[in-house]
Amino acid sequence: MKTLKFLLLGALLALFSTGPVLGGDVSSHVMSFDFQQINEISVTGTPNLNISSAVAGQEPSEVTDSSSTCAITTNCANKKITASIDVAVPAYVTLKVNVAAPSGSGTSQGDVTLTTSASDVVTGINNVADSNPTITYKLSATVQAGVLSTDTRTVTFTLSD
Amino acid sequence: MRFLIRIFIIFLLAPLFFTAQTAHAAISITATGSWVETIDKNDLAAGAGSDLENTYTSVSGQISIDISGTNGASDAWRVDIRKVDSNWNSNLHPYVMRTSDGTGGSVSGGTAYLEVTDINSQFFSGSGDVTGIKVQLRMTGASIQINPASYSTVIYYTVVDI
Repeated sequence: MKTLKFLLLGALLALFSTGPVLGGDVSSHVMSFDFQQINEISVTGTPNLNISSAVAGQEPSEVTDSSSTCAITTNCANKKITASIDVAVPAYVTLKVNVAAPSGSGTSQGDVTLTTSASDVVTGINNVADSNPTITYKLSATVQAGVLSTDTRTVTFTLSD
Repeated sequence: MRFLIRIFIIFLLAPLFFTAQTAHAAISITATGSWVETIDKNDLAAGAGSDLENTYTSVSGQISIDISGTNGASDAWRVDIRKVDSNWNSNLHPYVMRTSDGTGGSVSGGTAYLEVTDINSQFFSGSGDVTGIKVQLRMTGASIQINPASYSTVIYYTVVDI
């Protein structure tokens, strides 16, 4: 009889303990973002270099053009910019390029002589977006080059590992 | 004295046997859909030299939510939301916003973007069975500072009978 009383008491307790449920049903979905590698570079400007003077007794004066810029975006680490020209410059003529490092990332290699082989101009570039690094070209020649007619070269910049 | 001890034991044990059978336990929630976004060079704000767009937004009805198993139109509930990251980047911030009422019972709240965190937050509430509650998703914080990889989190919707 006592047991029955206890069971009844337990049932009553259960009736009064039916408050809000402790948890709830759960459903879910995935939210996913695939960040792909981004390595973009572009250049602007059409530099014009014309050697036309010299100090008496010295080689012809080097000329400089800093009217070009490059724009670079990468979300990767340890990238570099290389530069090359499509056709070698004439004998006794030297064409150099100096690309400023993007703000806050990378190291400019200073004046680099352009050849038909790719040369590093900026190294150690990490996760950066900069639309304004300056490109400076320098053209020099010795008197052995003689008089040359106007010519053009295409400079190719590459962002690579 | 023995009587008091038995009473005490009954008080302790009764919830274990009875609370799991409450009338509120049948309510359920189903979230259908997912959001997978690829971010590449086409997402740069202005091409080379620019950063990625900061914010990405899904279509209006990216996720559809159904609430069922209520005890009728006056059975109130709320939906809480949280995320559990699998490979996530702390710069990324997911948001949700309810974009439709669905059909059936009533729904209120959740019509402004709510950031989803690791802790449950109330998203919206309502009563009765409702189907087709549409949800739009948003993610902010993208930039080229985030290394290339696939970042994923799971959004959990919990319906609580109230």
